[in-house]
Amino acid sequence: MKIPRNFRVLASLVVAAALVAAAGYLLWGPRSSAEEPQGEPASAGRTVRGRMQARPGGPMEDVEVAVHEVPTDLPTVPAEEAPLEDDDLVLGVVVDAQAVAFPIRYLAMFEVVDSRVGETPVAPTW
Amino acid sequence: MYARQVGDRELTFDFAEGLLRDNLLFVDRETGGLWSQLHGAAVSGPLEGSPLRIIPALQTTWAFWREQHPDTRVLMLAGKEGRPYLYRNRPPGTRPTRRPTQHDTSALGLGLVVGGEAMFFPFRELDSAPTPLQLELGGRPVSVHYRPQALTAWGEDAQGNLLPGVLAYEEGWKAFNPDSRIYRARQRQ
Repeated sequence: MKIPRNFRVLASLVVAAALVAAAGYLLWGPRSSAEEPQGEPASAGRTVRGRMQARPGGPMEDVEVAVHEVPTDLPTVPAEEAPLEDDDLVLGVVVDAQAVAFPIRYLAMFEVVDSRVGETPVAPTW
Repeated sequence: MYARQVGDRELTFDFAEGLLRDNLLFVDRETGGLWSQLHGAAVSGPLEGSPLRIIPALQTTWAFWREQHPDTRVLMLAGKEGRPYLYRNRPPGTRPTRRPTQHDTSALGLGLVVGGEAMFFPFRELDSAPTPLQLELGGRPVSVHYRPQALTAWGEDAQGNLLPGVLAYEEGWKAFNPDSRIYRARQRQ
């Protein structure tokens, strides 16, 4: 039986897509929540309007963009209780004689958090 | 790292999806004004033009920070793994992989502004430089320290105090500091 050329092309594409998906799974594993955007979802329609770029490299324009709420005053724990690996990146600061490390893996979820070191309100960002 | 206050007024920042010079924007809950991450100042709203005070901070590995500050506390986000970011695993010139997010260290460096003078120290230049560097910036003596194993560099004043600095990509730094000098190790050898 002669298989139509179009069908063969389509079948090849499907097989190729399946191979790419399988390779991706083997290389990176199943998608987990850790890789999904973890910042709070855009806050119930909260937006801000201003003159800015709507996308990287884009022109300056008057646009309305979504606002994502970030955590405020998250707790801190002593070093021995921190679930970090030696090569984890942190943003460290000493304020009012108190040293605090802000793990980049958390900052990367929100870009900025509202925290406090000693009596000083701080905005670690990365 | 910024002190999130202007005068006695405390501010609470959220993340806004727009960009300014391809850099992130925040919005404060108190006035609704927009703030530029790298510029460190309000770019709209009633506080437009108000700068935030920079708090000198060090971006480095957990091992190096803990060694320097054994009594440190650590911000926790219970139940979240976060987004691991690794600088070390992506050789210069290679394509990024999806997980964990990886960055090209060849473009990374330390940006300092002292006495109104900006200078950028690419890691690739510090790799072949005799550190700590001793130089003058903004008319003041500055030393630049580099720890490639700890993926960090920082500046200190003559008294050994940490100077406000940022680890940034060279292009991003130049976008906000177009007059910045760029350190070249070869010129100093």
